[in-house]
Amino acid sequence: MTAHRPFLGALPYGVRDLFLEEAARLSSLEDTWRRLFETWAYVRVIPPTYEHYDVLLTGSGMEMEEQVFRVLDREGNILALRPDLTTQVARIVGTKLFDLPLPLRFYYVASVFRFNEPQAGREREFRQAGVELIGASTADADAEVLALTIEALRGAGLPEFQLNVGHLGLFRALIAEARLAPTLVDDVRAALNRKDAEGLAEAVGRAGLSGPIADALQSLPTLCGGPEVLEAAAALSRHPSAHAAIERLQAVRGLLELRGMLGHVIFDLGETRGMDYYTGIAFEGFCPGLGFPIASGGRYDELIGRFGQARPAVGVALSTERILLALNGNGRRNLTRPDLLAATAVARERSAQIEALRQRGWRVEADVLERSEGDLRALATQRGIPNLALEATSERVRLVSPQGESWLAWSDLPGRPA
Amino acid sequence: MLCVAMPKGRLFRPAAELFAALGCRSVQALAEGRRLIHEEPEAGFRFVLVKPIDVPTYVEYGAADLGIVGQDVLREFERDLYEPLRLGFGGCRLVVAGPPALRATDWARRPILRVASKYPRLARQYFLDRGLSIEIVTLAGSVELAPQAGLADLIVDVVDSGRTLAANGLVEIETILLSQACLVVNRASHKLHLARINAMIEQMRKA
Repeated sequence: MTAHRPFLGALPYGVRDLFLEEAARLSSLEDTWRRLFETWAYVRVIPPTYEHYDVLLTGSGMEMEEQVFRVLDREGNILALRPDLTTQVARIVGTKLFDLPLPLRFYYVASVFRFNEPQAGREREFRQAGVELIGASTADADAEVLALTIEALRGAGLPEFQLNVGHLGLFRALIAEARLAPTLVDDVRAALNRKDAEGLAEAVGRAGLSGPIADALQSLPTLCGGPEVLEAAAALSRHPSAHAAIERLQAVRGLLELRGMLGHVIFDLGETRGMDYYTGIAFEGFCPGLGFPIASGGRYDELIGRFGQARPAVGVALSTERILLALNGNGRRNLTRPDLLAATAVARERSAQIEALRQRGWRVEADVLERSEGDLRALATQRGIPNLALEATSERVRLVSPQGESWLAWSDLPGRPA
Repeated sequence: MLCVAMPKGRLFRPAAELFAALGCRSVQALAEGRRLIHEEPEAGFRFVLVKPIDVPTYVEYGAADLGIVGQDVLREFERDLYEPLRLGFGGCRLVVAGPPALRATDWARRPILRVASKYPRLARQYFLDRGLSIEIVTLAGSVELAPQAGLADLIVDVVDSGRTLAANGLVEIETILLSQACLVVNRASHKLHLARINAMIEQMRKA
């Protein structure tokens, strides 16, 4: 039995149609990103939309489990619509591409699905564009992904944005040094993620910590700002992985400075957000007027190893609809209109000439309704189509153009449309 | 200019005093007129006046950069915000209360308890964590009335002095949460106005 719906066009909550100008804006942005990623030598990967639930959720953590769309197939397998593509890329690399020379560079432009409240332009189905750089654990690899993120946000036309760069190594080293029980780790982490200094002091107190380790944990929320916070952080712990984390951020800072990109970066050592699979740097992008992150990424050196040969990797995902929303209607929004409208007879009898124009990049719309000359002229005016081919021989065409109306040789038409 | 979501009601006056100390001379005006927006261009703040439970929403979406709100509301709605400063005012407790005759030992023997609250999430979590089946009745106000009116066995609500509870024949049974007012900050605003917001927090801490 089907539930009664008042209207056949009803939509479920959390999805939307994109058409005309909005669809054009989204594809134009994604085209820009595809070209950018390809000039950085990333190649496209197209994983399936759904997979086995447990495979897709490998390493993602509890928070993601709650957000995933689950589906049962007829054999009773639990499937899930992908909530991100990083795990899929990790599976592909770990199980199928383990013998390719490293590093590998993949990009994707795809829809993902999360059972969230729609927020800030992002529905339950939304678009992500991202890159994964696999097989390099260097600071240069981290810096490449950060720099590419900055280029992608610039390329989108965002005038102002910032990347908030942290590193999970320092927090994890302090937790290890403090030998905290898991429930206390959750308390500390929750207070830290809220930058709640007093809440953090309480949690540290409840854990019975005191001395340098307590001071170090409590100073984390203040370690947010320019490169000077890295200096301050270096003094906090002598734990080797804390040391490695700060050294890595220093190196990344130096590489971004060489690229002149430090103005877009702040360092935040009090952030422990992000996917559970992150092991090194972790970052998020923000821009004015939008309260939510527009990009998020990080290093995940242990995820691919769950599927096969271990490989270090770092990547980022851009939140396409949020960036479109932040552009606030800026960016290309005109629909591409045809360059030429061809009367039915012209299109039918001179298809070779029409095809030659299309080969040269002309957008040619063929009338298929045998409209009269008057109707064609009215239609071209109404739709803003600059050229109208009313009749033609194999040599010449009677063309209405912004220059007026005349018989022209096909070969005299410009190589590319104006 | 930073936009601040100010809570209507009992938190408004101390919150306004906090910003008055930062040079916003006439924030109080928001309480008097009908306008819901007030600007202090010299101090660089704009204020919007909203219901306390809407403060986290305004701030999470970035419609306001900052807000003042109680921890009771923050924990009920769990929005993704920074809470860098507790403000020391607006102290209250979120408690379980009920008629004196209903003792805690009786709860577990009831097949199901009905609990009235403005905090359905916190109330549900509290009872379920203790293995008690409950039915939550979500109300928008006058929660103390529910047991007398036969709508619920217990209530979960905030108390300040406890006088309203007593006047309605209820006693506090257990405290779920101690709450006070907090400064909350949108995550993007925090990054984009880091120096200014940090300086403001320092000023508030000293005040």
